[in-house]
Amino acid sequence: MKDYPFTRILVANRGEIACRVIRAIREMGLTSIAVHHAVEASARHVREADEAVEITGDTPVAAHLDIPQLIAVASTTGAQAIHPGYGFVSENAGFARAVAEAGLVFIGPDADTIALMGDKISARTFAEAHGVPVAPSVLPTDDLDAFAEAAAQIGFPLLIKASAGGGGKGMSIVREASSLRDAARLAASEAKRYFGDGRVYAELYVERPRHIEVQVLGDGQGRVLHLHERECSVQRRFQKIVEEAPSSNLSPDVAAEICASAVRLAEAAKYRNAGTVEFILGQDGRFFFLEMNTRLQVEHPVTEMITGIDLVKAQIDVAAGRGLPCPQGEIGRNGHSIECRICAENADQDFRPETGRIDFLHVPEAPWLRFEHALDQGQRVTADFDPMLAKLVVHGADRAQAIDRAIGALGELSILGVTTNVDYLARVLDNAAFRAADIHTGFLQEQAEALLPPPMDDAATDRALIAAALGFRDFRRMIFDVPPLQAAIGYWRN
Amino acid sequence: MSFRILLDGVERQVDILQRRPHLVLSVDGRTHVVEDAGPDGDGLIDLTVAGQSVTVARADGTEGQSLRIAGRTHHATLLVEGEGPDDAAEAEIRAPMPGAVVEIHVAAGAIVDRGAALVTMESMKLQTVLGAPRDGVVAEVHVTEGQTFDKDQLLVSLEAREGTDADA
Repeated sequence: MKDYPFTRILVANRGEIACRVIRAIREMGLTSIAVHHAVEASARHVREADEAVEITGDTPVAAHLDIPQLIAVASTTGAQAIHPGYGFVSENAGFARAVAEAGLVFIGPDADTIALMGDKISARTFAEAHGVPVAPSVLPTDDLDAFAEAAAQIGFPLLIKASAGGGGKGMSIVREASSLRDAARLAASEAKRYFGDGRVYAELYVERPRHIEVQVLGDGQGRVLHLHERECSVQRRFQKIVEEAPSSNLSPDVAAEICASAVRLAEAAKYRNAGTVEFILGQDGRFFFLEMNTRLQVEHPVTEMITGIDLVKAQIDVAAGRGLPCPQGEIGRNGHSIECRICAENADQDFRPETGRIDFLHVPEAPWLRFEHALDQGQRVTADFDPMLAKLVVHGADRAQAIDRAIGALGELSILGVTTNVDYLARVLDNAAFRAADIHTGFLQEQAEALLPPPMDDAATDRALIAAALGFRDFRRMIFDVPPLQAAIGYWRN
Repeated sequence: MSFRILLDGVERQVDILQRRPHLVLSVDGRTHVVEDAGPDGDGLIDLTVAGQSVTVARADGTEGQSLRIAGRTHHATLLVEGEGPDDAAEAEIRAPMPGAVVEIHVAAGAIVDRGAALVTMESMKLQTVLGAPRDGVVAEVHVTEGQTFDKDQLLVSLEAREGTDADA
């Protein structure tokens, strides 16, 4: 592109997100440069990029985290901009600073914004100062009378904990005013005993919370768009595995309020880049700021599916100083989208990560489907990198259709040779509570029993066994290789 | 002809009852006609079992076979005689069809390797040598030369060889 301040972009990432970014770069007529460790020299992101450079490190991950090396690669390859993807160096203020100091464009926010939002305390203080709701709390104190008075004003239930604490020591949930003082006294004495610090802290306890987040896009001049909210309440080990947009079962008023809060926060920060403001939402409709992620999010495709806006291209345009893609009023909200994170893990064994070789890969195709991945048949899945293999993203006219389409696509998807959570994800989507949008961050644990594999009936077992038998060479040989009689009998006697 | 298959950790038995004109299999005693056994090899394969079409994704890997049928993933391994979760220390050599004993190659107490000739039998003017399915020791020979037998009649039994894997 002629009027672009940069034409060569280093993609400082790997896997599906590197492929995703490379695709946007190619579609914009720009040049992509991939980086890879020796163990992933033939990976898909290396093949799809216009150029690729090997990086070194004690481990493959260490190579991808090596800031001076990444900057050096950008310089030697003539890259003028760097896209960090998510993870690795994407939220590293030091990296953003080093990129700027090298005279390159960082496709992300400035280093100070990353630092501000990267620290929980400063982010919370900033949010509160700009009218974004934070969970009410009582600051650490050892004055139990003052504590009890302040705590009672917050309301119930309350979570009381030792301010120096950890491991649940001195922690309790208080549901009524009458037990507040006793709980505070107990927490203080346990805090004193275990941590030598009797100060206690309290915050509002949100029961059955939902995780709602808002996609924002800022130009760095104080103009910020929101691209509606996403719901990411389905989590295991505090990590999302199913995300959707828009959020299910959320009143339009609350949705509008949450989005407005996110925009307020990003405007106050003069935010530049795509970003995500995360909230916790109570069953009573109250919501509180959790944190802001100053990068592209794993689940960004569900937002793209309902808005039609390519977030990676928007990031690149903003970094190039070309501003936001459209006014807020033109950002639509069409239908419903669901993303499933396909991970190499055993959902029936506490989500233990799995390794292996992808012996067979079959990816379904449909106009309403995006399968974001960097997989190849024959590829080894090792413990070197994150166990997320791919993302299956569907669009439907409404949530029910999106669920049905996702279940169908998961059923057609085959990743054989390494254990994945594909079967489990289909069971999650088909779960009655999920279909009813009765979800919260403890949903998977609460439904654990209902999400176990259903027992197989004889017909299904026999079908699987017959298919398996016919796949074994020794078995087929016995049936097909020789005429039936000679197969059982050795040789003619006369 | 009988095969033992470990499917998702459970041992099952598949018997070939008939090969022509249709393949007829017995799975744990339940009989199924396989109208279309599908092609050889890995990939997406269509089978017809009991008149119903079944699409299977299949890959034969280093640690057994992975399959996906009707949205469910399975893992299968073919057990060879003497292997398996309930590792039978003994092995029985039974008559694959009615016939007569032509020659007995071993006596009780003989140490045999897998594949060693045990009995030559004759059936419908055809001779065949029955071999040891695994390493072992001949526990007993249940037939004599010239004797006739029915299908499935016990011909030779083996026991585990001391210090071999079959004992473990």
